[in-house]
Amino acid sequence: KQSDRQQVVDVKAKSFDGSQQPQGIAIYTTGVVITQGTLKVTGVKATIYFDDQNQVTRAVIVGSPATIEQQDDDGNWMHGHAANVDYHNDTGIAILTGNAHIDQPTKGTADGDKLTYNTNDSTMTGESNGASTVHMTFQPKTQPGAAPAKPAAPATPAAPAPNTKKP
Amino acid sequence: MAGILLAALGASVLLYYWVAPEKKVDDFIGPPRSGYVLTTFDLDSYNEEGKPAFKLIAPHLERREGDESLYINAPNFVLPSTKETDVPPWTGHSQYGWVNKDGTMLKLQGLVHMDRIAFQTNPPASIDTSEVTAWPKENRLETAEAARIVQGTSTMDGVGMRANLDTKHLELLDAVHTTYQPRKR
Repeated sequence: KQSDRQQVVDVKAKSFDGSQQPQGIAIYTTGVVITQGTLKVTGVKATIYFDDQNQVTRAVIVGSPATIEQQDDDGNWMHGHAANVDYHNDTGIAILTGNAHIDQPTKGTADGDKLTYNTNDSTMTGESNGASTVHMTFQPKTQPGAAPAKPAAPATPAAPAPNTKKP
Repeated sequence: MAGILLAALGASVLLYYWVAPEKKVDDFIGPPRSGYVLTTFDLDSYNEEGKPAFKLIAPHLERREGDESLYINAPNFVLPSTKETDVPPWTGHSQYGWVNKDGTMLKLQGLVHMDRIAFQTNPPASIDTSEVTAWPKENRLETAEAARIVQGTSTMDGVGMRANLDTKHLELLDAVHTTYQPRKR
């Protein structure tokens, strides 16, 4: 949701190591769960960057895989996972790299090496590093009231060629 | 005959000095310092360079001869930065305090609260825990207990903490839970 980025960032983990100061960096390890409104990111290690007002500007979460999920403004959920989730709190962009997968039940799924998901308008771009292709599937748009397409009529068999000459 | 005796005497003396343990050297000159009690006192402790290491203000202090350590009730303490001079000190209080013989270690027990005012771009900060061991000359703290650190708008809870107040490096060892407030629009 748009309003997510105005919510409190809540981080749970086993341990913390960092310098709590402006422009500081904080490292959380083991069982990391970060929530901010409907946004939820989990992983094994999270590195969080702060600006000079001690606000979270960016969080890089690695895991096997790291997961991310969020609800957009019309209530549709998005679930994603990848080896590395790089979430920019200031722009609302999440970059999933390392066999990334994003699933939006109402829209479709995407797999690729790098998927960039924009949490503002829940749009997505996919890139591959050349080795594998980006694979996306999109749910068909069901037109309201359209009759399901009639199965095509079986084609009439072609008449056998007239070959009546007897030896 | 006398020669043999003399040689035997010499050998036995040599043997004695070689085997006998050295005499215990007492490094403290003067009579052993007696225990004492202070009431409503200020205690200023300095490090080797003569810079203040810590200050204690308390209603009651007892010094015991045994290990020459100090037992303090309800201390108010000041932990100045050992490096920068323009950084405000951490100040706080606890129910009990204990200082070891050479003043390198300060233990604070029971409702330990410490805080430091804001300065430059750093927001005000505070630490609350039930017990902490401080090494004032290195401005370092450690506790195995639960600790809550509030820094500006972020609140951190954890069990087991190691902090260096000079470098502001902080570690929480277990069950960490942190909240960062959103940016003000």
